[in-house]
Amino acid sequence: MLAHETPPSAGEISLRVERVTKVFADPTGAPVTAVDDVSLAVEAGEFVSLLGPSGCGKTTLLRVIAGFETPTAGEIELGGQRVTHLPPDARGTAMVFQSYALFPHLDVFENVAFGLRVRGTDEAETRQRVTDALALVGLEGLSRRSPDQLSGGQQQRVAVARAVVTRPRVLLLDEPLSNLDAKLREQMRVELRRIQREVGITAIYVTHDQVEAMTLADRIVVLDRGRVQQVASPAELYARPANAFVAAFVGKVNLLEGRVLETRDGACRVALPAMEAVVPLARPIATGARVGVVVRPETVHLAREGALRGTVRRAVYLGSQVEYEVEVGGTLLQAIGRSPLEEGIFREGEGVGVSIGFQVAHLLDLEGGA
Amino acid sequence: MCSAGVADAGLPQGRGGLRRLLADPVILLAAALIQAALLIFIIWPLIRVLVVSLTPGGVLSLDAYRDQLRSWYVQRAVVNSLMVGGLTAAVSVALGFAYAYTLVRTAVPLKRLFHLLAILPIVSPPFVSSIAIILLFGRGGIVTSGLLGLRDFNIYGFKGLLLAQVMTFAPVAYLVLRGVLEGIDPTLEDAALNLGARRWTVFRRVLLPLAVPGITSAFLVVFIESLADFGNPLLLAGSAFPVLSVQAYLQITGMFNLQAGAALSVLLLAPSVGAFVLYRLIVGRRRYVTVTGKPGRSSLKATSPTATWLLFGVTAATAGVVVMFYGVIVAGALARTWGVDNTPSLEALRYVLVVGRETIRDTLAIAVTATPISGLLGMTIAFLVVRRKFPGRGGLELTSLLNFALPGTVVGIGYILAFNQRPLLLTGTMAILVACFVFRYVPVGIQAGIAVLRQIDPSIEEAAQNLGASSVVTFRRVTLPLVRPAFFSALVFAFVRAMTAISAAVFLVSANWNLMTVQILSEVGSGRYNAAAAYSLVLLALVIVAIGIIGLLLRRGYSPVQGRFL
Repeated sequence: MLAHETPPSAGEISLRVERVTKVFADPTGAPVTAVDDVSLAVEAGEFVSLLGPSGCGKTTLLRVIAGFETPTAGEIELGGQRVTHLPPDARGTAMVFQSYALFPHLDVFENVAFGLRVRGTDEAETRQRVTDALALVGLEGLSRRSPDQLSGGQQQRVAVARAVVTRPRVLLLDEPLSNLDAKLREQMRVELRRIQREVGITAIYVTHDQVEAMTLADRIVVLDRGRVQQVASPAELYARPANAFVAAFVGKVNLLEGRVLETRDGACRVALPAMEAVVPLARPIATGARVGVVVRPETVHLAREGALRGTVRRAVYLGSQVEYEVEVGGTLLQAIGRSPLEEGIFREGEGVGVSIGFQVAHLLDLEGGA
Repeated sequence: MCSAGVADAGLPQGRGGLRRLLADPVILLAAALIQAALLIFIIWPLIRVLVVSLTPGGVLSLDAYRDQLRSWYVQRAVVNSLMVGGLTAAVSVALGFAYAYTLVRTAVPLKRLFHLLAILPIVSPPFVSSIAIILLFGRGGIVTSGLLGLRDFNIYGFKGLLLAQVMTFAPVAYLVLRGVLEGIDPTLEDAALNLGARRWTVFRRVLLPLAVPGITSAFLVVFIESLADFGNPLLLAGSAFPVLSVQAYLQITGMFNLQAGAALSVLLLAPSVGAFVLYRLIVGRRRYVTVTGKPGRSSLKATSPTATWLLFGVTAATAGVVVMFYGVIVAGALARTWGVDNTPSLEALRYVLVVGRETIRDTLAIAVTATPISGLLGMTIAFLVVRRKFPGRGGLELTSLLNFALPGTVVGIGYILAFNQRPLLLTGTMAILVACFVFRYVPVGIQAGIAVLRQIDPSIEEAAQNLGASSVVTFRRVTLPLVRPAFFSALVFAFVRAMTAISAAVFLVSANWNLMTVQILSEVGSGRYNAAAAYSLVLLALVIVAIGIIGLLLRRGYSPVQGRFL
């Protein structure tokens, strides 16, 4: 029996990861650090996404939280209780696996009921809670189907119902949408967010898809090579990435390198290869420092006229927009052309006027690391 | 050949790893208990055989071997055993391949019947062919003395033994090769035909090379089984054609010379283990081949009509011999006195059911006890080996597999040497027979379990744990139901073998605990062929009923032995 079947109140820390490191052996026996000194605190009811490329350690971290891996160093706390050395079955987490991992020998109802049955929940309550969980994910009529009679999206819903029915301390989701086709993925994304809000459950969501992370999460933890790169809300992450990796991984980016000429009034003048730019400054920076200017493609505007001239090198038509590569003084810039039905399309090789939204650009200090 | 090759990613977990191991004491305890059991019931008897054979008169020497090998009779036995083993394997593989090819790759009638006829010898005691051969071709045989009127025809010796062993072990080759052929995608043959290769070329250049590892392993499996065979040579070889397994038995039961028996059994052990090592090397390389077995998709165009009907002829003739053998067993069981008065009578059956009641009860009790233990143990070991990390994991798999390579004679002699004094005084008990069967036939369950588990996504079991199920609950409620097909094969195999085994058991039976197989041999020895045939018939009926019951218990359709022998 788990004591924490009621959702904890908001503001409380539901999951704490303290300086966790996990070292594996590769097939030759050499140590590989999958998770490197990661710390994290997740509030009750929060939806946090672990985002990073494959091999960044996000799934390992999730498995450490679930108890399938023991960390080489560091501690895990769930609901204020230290669980680092508790086996998975005593942790009260619930995981939605990438492969769903439905029990092929049990029907939908028994799959969802499994967690309650092993806890010895009485029959009437089990029945009620399973029925509610299936209603929550919209699978009322299918309780006697076997998993192999379900579509991918339905299996996904069963996996979610099976996880939330036990009222876990945290819901762990390991790339749950990666086996679905694009349309269904979008639909399930909305669905997952609704369910998480409705149940008020704390959720940790592992993904390599930045769109998924952005649309679902309250906060995103960007991981690379086992280390936390940045923890921030989606908007913060996009507008003010902490480093070049985050800037490039989250959304598309023009990263222009240059040197600071002078700083004044919360902004600074930067010398770039083909131009000079005035960029707002979040933190003080030394004159002469090497910096990167993060310019998002949708803030680069193309027009017939304009002081700064460029040449279109590539134009990819996507219907609702056009993706351009435009060359300005030897630098290739990515740009987005909005609403081609209204604005028209520039052809490859055409000369255009380019205006760059440096006033919303973000400055990265390439010397100080972050 | 150590199959622990799956890198032990257990690495520098340090204190955390140990703590985790201790956090799941059930796993640790189960692993430790199983390892202890394997040491006691597999390794210890083997050590005893080696020690006894190497220390005649209490000092370390090879004298026991030297004495034995000096005798021309033993030299003949070594040569005979190897020759019969090799020939039996070659003929069985050829026959088994033709049989399997016909059933898998051609469109001929009666496939289902042919398959069942091939299964029949596998679920029978291994010496039923010998009894049939004696009834047919022996001194009072219906063919030799009845039809042909021959008075001095002698079936005993090399040719009788070869025939008996081929009829006993060709079905094993058939099952192995059937699996091999089903695993080869027929579209490869279609592709070769499509590229312009003629049918014979396709067979020679595509199918045969792909089947070579399977053919080799079938050969080695039959070679091992033939070397270890005891019942057939005891009944048919005769004194002019000595073989090792029988000589070892006679040394011990006839001369009470444990040392000589042990030495002879080690001579038998060496080629078996050699063949087994080769087998593992071959099988180890293609372990993860998943048999997709999609019937109906298979191309039946790759065999010419002439070849098809030729193959059908061979298959039908082989099946005909099986029918004849079992027919004569039935006839023998129902005849008044075989060869003298062949009018129908229930006398022999009544004799078996009345006089043999105790023996039947003992045999059933032992088989019914050994079967679930062997099945569960097999699944547990498979689970531990595939899914858990613990010290000595590789050794666990290896030890349990090793037992397959040990000829029954070695195991039987090992058991009487190892368990004849306190605290392991088991001779004369039911326990020694049960232990022998459990550990002897558990490798089949382990291998089947491992194969199935490797195909099951481990996250399914993780999901159960994550939902709050402990290791034990996960094993019972998730793993066991998932490995049900393997569990079924393991149970069926364990039961069939416990009912039909002879070579090790013959050393372990006692006045209190006798087995039907041993009884059958003694009936033949006393010339009561009707009783032997009747016993065989009853035994076969019990085995078939039991397979049905196991199938029902596991709520799975009747589907005899799944063709996995190792």
